[in-house]
Amino acid sequence: MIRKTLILLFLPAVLLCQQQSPKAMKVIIDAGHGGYDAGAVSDYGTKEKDVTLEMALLLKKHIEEPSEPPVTAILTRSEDKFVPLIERVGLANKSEGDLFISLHMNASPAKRDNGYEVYFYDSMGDAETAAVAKRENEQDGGADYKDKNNPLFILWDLAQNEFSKESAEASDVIQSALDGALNRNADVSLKLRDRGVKQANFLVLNGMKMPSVLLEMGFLTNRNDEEKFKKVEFKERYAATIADAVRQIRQKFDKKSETTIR
Amino acid sequence: MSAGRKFFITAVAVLLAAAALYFPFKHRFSKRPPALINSGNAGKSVVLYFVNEDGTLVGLNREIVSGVTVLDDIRAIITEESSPQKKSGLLNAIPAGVSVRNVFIDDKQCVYIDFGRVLTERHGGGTQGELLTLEALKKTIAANYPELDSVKVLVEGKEIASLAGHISTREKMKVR
Repeated sequence: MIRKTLILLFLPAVLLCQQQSPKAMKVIIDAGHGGYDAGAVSDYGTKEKDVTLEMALLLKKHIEEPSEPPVTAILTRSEDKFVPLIERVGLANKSEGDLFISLHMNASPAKRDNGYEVYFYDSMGDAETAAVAKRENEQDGGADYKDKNNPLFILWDLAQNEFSKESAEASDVIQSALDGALNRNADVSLKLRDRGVKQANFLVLNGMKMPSVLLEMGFLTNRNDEEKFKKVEFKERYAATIADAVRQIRQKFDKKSETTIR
Repeated sequence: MSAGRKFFITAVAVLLAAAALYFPFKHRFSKRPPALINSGNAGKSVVLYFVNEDGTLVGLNREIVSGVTVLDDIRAIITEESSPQKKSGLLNAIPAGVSVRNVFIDDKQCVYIDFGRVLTERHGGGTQGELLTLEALKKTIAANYPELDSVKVLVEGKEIASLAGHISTREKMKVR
């Protein structure tokens, strides 16, 4: 009898608490390369694996700053060790993350190549279909090839993996945030060129069961880009900007699921 | 038997004998698809792809001496693309010093280019660096051999996951 009374007394409070505290967003942060795999190495000895790890740790710090709803971060590596790509994908899927962000530093034979770019997954076949859709639309007067009324888009869309649209949206949000903080509104000393959102057939994004993006943060083969990643102010601003973008992505996805439920 | 009839029987016998000799050894005559064999060792104008200082792929016309087969030519073209360039401002999309061990084409018109391990060992990495290498290979085949359908990268005779940890090289890359 006493037990039943207690349950009846506390049940509404428990239900209310559950309604008021939304599920924390789980972000998987992947520091590219590591261990014997140094990734790209600059002419001055800076290693991609070190920059990505430092930025991943900074991003985790900024992401886990108190916010409502809360955001938690899981790292695929938190030290200088080699983690096979397939294990990174496995860890992310097993952790049931809401968003996967892989951090990398770019490299090119051309020293002038510079700036950041945000990628999301595209298998080669999908890229071809998208290219066809784009070409066909250009012939029809240059309409947006992602127009949902376009049958070619529907075909393209069907060919994408389950989370491709969310990945594209997440890429757009991160790119816009970086464009604002590091390109348009940044001092010359912190300015980084925006190379936009792109698609490619990345191994680490293949098989990911959540929206996922790969951020090439800057070029290690470009002296100016490399120097910026030695400045604490720049790295802090960079990580804080991505963390802000993650919160925007959360809100965007939440709104979408509310609309779907209605 | 008339002379005409004798001539006819002899002609048929000769044809049958020729056929009997040809068919058992047919595979020797058709070892290389006829389209792959070059007509002579004349100079041939080809398009090679390099990276300019701004990071864009540029196609340049060059003359090569044709080999016996198209496969020899593809090997020569890729080797030239991985040779250090004397002209200032031109950079290698395919790492300098890479050897091409073998080239072959399957029945689906996919060209397999088997590189030495230097391709992955000396690759500078980065998504952009990998994309430039792969794009240069695709453009080279598309520009010089439009009849081919796709290209596949091998290293030391084996499929590789990627050049330096980013873009998948497990699939054939369409060039058309």
